[in-house]
Amino acid sequence: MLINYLLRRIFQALVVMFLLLTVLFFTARLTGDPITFLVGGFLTADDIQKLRTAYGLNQPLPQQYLIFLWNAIHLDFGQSIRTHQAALPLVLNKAVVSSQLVFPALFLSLVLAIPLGTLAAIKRGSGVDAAAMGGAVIGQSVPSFFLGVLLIFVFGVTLGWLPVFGTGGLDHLILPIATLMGYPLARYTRLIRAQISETLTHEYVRTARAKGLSEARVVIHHVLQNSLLPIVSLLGVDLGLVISAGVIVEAIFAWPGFGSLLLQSAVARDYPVIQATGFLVGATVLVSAIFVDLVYGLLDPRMRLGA
Amino acid sequence: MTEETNYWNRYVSARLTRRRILQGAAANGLGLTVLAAAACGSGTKKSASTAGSPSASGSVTKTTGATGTVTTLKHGTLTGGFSSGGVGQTLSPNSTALWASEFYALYDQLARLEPSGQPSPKLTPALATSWEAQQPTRWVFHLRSDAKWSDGQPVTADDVKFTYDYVKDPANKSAIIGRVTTVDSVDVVDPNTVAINTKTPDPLIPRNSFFVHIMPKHYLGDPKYGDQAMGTKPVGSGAYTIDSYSQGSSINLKKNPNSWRGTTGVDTVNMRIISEDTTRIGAFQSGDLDMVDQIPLNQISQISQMKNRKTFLPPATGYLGWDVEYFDPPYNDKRVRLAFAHAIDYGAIAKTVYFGVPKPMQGQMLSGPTFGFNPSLKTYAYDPAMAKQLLQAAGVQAGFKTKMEFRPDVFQGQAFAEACAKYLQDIGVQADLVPIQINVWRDGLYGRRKRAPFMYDTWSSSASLEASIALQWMLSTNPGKFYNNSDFDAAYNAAVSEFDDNKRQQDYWKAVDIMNADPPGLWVVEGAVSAAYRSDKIAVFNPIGSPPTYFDELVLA
Repeated sequence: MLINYLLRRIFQALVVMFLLLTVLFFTARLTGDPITFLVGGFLTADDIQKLRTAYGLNQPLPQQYLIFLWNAIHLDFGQSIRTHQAALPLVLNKAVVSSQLVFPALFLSLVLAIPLGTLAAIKRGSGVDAAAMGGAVIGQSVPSFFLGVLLIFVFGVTLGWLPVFGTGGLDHLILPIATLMGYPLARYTRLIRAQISETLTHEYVRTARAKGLSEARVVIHHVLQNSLLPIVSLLGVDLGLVISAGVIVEAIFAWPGFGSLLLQSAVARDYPVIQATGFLVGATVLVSAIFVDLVYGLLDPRMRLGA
Repeated sequence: MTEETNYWNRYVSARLTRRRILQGAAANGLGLTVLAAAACGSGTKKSASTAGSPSASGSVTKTTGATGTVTTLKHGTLTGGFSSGGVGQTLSPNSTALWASEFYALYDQLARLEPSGQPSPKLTPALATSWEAQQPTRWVFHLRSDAKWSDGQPVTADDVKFTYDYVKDPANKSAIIGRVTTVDSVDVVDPNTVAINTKTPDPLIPRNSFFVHIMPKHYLGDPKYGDQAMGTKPVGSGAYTIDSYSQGSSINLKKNPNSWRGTTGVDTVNMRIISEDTTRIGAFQSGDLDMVDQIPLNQISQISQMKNRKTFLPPATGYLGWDVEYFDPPYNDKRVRLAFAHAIDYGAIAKTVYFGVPKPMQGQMLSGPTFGFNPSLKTYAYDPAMAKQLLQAAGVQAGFKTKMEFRPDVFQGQAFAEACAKYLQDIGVQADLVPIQINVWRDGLYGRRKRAPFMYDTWSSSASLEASIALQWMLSTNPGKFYNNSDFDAAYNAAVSEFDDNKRQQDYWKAVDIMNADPPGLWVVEGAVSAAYRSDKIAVFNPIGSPPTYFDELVLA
């Protein structure tokens, strides 16, 4: 039954979220005292203690943990130590800005990878295949920070075609999205090529050709749709990877998303924001994984028949 | 057949096919992309369109100076790139102890530090037109009568009292609480006169007021608004007010029509927070930015060679060097620490590790521009032979092992550590280099862990360039336990309670003399920072630090 299936997945997700919150709580506190970061070393020990009391940081750790868990259940992650703003709404606002990079990067990666991977598979062994695979290897090898800086210097500084930082018009999106696309585009191109190459060997493909269908029709209507199924299952997980990569890309391009916020909060040991961000990313990945599982079942009849 | 497959069989009707799902997903993906682009297009103002171009208004005003000369001021927009580190995270000045430029744009202080033509800046009237110490523990400030908040309300002594009381209260979690530790209470004498009472005589109250941004009682004190509202929609009495703000990304300022201060031409400021050095400098190079702060030292000469680009070195506020163990043997023997001091070639490190930009420190932990810097002291002579003799006399054998904790995250952190370790090796001391992260480093500063015999350090006198801010860490009562010298304590305590500038300076000199003969650390080079600006856009660029930059004092070309 749908209800039982969903309930089971939700229960699993809750267990994962509990473990995630616990890890976030303790690892954040392993990084050091946020008060000394806040005040830049200009306080007496007595003043530091007063501030720690005001922030609730002088309570025993188990007590802090239970308070944190209780508040987290009510979606209250406290106030940012640096800005005194409510942490979760702050992170949510920034997540909306980050989504302007993340979702287009994922979508465009897939859209471009499909024809590239298909061509590479059909023209296997040719120059097209070599170029596509060479590009894919480079895309997966080059770190995003290097690619971003390279794009800045080529298109921003040398050619002066595109702005290199911040938000603004559509042109501000191009370089950061292109940087974010580097790895997923390469990955999907290689995967699609491998999937299509494998699918082309199936008997039903030969049957379709034998029936007199054009090669284009065979590839698009028979091969491609079957080859994309494994890619769909990867999308849920890759969303988390792209969000992680977005932290670096946002720093390079001064994009005011939650990646930049997380980086600054991690340096400043802003526990509430670190925890709220980890919670949001974890929840996003979990929900998308459940969603992808549901969609995969819709797409693949074999899943429905319990094969 | 399992329960899941029953669900699929019932749910998937003839209308919901795999093809439709794929088509829907493609449409949603495209729709998300279009929505994202549309949302982005309605977001923050485009930075490039306002930078590197003629000023927005191009208007000109003429002012006549005291000598009758007419000065033409060009009005326009400035776009600046600023590294992060506390900048732009919030517009509330309670959030950070750093001296961010936007706070000096949005808010007033009782007094402001200005370039003086001398190494150390001078204190000038700001919100307060004058001040005097009525008693050693009572400072009276006379406020100007024409100061107004950006919402039109008058600035009064009540606001000053409110600000100090607010910052002093730990419940308000103000990051600048450390600037008011000597303040006991604040009295309103009349609407334009306020008195600050201190616990002990404190001659530095006016100078430390530079760090205390006066905040509005009617706004910050109103529960409807409070510090959260100050963080995003502040009310201040500075030369500028907020036009738009994107946290951690951009701060757009416009001239505050209610401010008494006015500007010298920069009526609009677009601050862009760009933490990545490469991006910030790339944008400056391409003309998207009119000025940038915190240029890496190895880029200064490159930028100086660019057309219409100049660099600017504000006064160094501190040093780069090492805290050296003071209490445990053999380091508790000052001959050992003096040996280390003479083992280092300070000039060579300044030249090779730091590209010839900063000056070597002169035998003290205070930089040249600091009030209290002793000009009679010289850089410790590089004399490895003498260093070996001192070690021998102290009974330290060749091959002595030690540890140096360095910070790899700071500019040239590893290179600096390796250079110093090599000099120690030359006198027979084997240093094991241990990289530490900033949180570990701070634990060492506050005495929460045992430091290695050498720990990288960078004490600063802050932009106020007053010696006490750095020297206070060397008091025997400091929890960091860096030093224990009763003569130093006496000289320091005399200095910070001395109202006469000349006498105070003498007391500081005495304190650093004592440290020079019995050094608790190695003070190697000045902690230099650099800014850069477009000389075709900005005619006068003379900030007291990097930060802060006073935008209201910049003159456009």
